[in-house]
Amino acid sequence: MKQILFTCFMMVMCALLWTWQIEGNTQNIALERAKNAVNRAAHGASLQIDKLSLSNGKLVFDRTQALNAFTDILSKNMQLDSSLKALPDTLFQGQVQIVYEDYVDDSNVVARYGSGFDDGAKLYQYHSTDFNLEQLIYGPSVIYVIKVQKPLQINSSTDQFYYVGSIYEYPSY
Amino acid sequence: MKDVISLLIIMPFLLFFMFQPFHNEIVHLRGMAMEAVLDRGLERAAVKGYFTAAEIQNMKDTLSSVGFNKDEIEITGTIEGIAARVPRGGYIEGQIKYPINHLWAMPGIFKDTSETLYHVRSGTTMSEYLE
Repeated sequence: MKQILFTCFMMVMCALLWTWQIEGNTQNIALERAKNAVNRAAHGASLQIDKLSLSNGKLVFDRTQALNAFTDILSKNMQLDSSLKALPDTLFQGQVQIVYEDYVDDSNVVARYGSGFDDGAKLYQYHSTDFNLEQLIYGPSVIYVIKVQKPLQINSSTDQFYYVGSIYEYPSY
Repeated sequence: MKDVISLLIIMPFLLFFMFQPFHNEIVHLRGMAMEAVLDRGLERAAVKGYFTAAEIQNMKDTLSSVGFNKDEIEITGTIEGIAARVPRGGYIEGQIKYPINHLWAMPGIFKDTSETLYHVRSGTTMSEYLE
């Protein structure tokens, strides 16, 4: 009888520990995958440059194309539909939102920092108070932050979110 | 004597409960390692326009250095020899597949399902390769 009670107690304790462990691991995977997806999407967005401006020696991002590329690659990597809603039976749940979008390029760097990227090797401190973003950038960059619901297995509350951001420079600068 | 027999009966359960969390952690960490290796691989593939044979080998070497069996790692996608180099703006895809040999600790007692389960990690990135 003593052993049976002890085993039952162990089973309950272990079930609780496993639940906690699986919950933690799922959060871990979700955050890692979301970060990688945002990085790849921002990388794709950073390649969308305006060719007309480039022929004038200016590197300016094509905002519309960049956002399209970002959305497209994000949905491919996070298994979302075209409106950024998670597909059924996948890791993520609910709607993914792009909550922050910014571009630093030749069209606005002088207005922001007082000098252009062509004025010698310089570092620029990108700063945004909205999401506490802080990053040193060397060249034209795209900045995105997405908001994604935490894939909680146990807690049914749906108002817990990850804010995942990425600052990506134009690769060949 | 009675106590010894009852302890022997519950012993498999005790061992199972004791070791399963560590086993869960190993399965999870394998998945994380694959995620990291795929991400680095995709970054390099974006520069080259596809996964080069050397890069595939490098990815397998990295995984085998953390306990994966090299022969069981399956990498598919935009790979040299199978697909052409993707020019800038196109999509490069990659997928790593690895069998989860045991989902449960002590598979001899707690039988796994007959079908093989797999770790699958896949990703898509944009090529930055210029001809």
